[in-house]
Amino acid sequence: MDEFALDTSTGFIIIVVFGLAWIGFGYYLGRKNTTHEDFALAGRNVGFAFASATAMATWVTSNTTLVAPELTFQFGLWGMVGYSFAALGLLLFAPLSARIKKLLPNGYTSGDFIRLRFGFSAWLIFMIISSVYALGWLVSLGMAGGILLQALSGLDYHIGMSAILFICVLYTLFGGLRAVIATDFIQALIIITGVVAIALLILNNIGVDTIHNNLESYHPRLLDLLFPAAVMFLFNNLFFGLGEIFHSNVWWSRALAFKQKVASRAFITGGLLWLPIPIVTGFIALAAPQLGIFPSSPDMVGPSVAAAVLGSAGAVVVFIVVFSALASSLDSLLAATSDLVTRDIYHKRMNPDASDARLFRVNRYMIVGLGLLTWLLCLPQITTLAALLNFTGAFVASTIWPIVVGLYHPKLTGKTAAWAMAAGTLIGLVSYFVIGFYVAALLSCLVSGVITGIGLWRSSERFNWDDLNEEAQT
Amino acid sequence: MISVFALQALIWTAVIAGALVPIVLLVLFAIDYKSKSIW
Repeated sequence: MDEFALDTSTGFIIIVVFGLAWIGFGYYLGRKNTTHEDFALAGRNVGFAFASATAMATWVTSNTTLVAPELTFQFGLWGMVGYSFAALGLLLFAPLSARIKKLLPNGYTSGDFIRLRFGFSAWLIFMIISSVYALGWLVSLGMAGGILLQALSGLDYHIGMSAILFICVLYTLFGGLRAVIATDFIQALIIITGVVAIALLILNNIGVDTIHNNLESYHPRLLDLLFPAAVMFLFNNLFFGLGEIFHSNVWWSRALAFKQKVASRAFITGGLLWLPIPIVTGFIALAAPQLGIFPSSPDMVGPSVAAAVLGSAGAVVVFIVVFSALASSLDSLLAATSDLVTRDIYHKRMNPDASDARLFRVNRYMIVGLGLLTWLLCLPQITTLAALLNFTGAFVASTIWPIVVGLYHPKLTGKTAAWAMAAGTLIGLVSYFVIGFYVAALLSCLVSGVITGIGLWRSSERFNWDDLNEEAQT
Repeated sequence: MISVFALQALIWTAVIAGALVPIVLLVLFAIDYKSKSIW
């Protein structure tokens, strides 16, 4: 990225300054954590402002800031408009979050629900799906950190990747979910202010009519509203997004951590606040042909345009925005996945009599362990980001129907849920390798939905919802 | 093909909505802070 004026030392200074700020803030907030519940679920008392901001900021990843321009560059208008459809995941999770809060007042994780609602077989399949997804996302974020910081400032991949992982592990370790949510609030402010500032400066420098005239003459396809490849990709992406949110403990732990009447409103607000971001970040790419920018790696089109129009100041803003976007998702994933391992595997399978202090300690060990595992997997830079993420789509989309139906309908059995998730994942994987990444989530969700529907139709069982309130039972 | 006007409307609506996001978040925070319900 020779066109970037941001030198390595500036990039390094930004990382150190922001890193120290997040770690210090995490340490400060962590002083209030006295129980495992405080650490894992922020005392189940997160207010509306922080809840809305964390829902939005966690869903803003490096993908939103870099892949939205990339898709716009490749698919035109549908790239950015379609990407913003991913807000549907947050909006549709809103009613589910209220239901989750009601059914599992003392629950900790998404694994708790699957275990209590569907039994061991479905829980095991769900844990495999969750682990593949969590590790896939963690590794893709860690790798994105190294690749992006290197592309933006020339900072060595291994240093950038290690630095962002180290910073996120440390402040999550000190502050738990409270630190994750509070930093998300500040990161949300930084991300959105940064992308809006860049968009306004580009609009002021180039103008929409100039961009439109250029595209109409030389790249009319990018202004076409009937672009079949883009529409196909977007449907797949939509189901992938729903699967990601509906199954992941990142979102379940938030639903359980928010105050009783806050959960549903917060996810709706977070979704609405997120909605314009892909368009704000994506439209920047429409200016690329006008500026004669055709980057070798399409995901760098956004930063390339920002740097070309705004110079070194633009590069600094992009660097800070990308760093914040990565951290806001990495910390959430570290906290939520360590909760899942601590609660579902250590506490419920290995040591049911573990004391609160012991669980608190184990949860912290898990954060360090996950950070270390992610670092090791990121070291060789084994695959591309898109390939890794799309692969997990085959897994997560199979969970959509069992979770939604399982939350509302007492007739769905554990056996059906297990079959739906296993067969959906299998078909999704086969279609990923035989047809292509763009149908994996779609077919996985379809097969899982058909099995769930048949199982529901044939079932005569009635699940007792009170069985989900584990503490009341004991 | 989308018209210049529609493209302008789409982009400016998104940018203005995006610009309102930090304001909305800060107002929500102020309300929570005032009613002591941040956590």
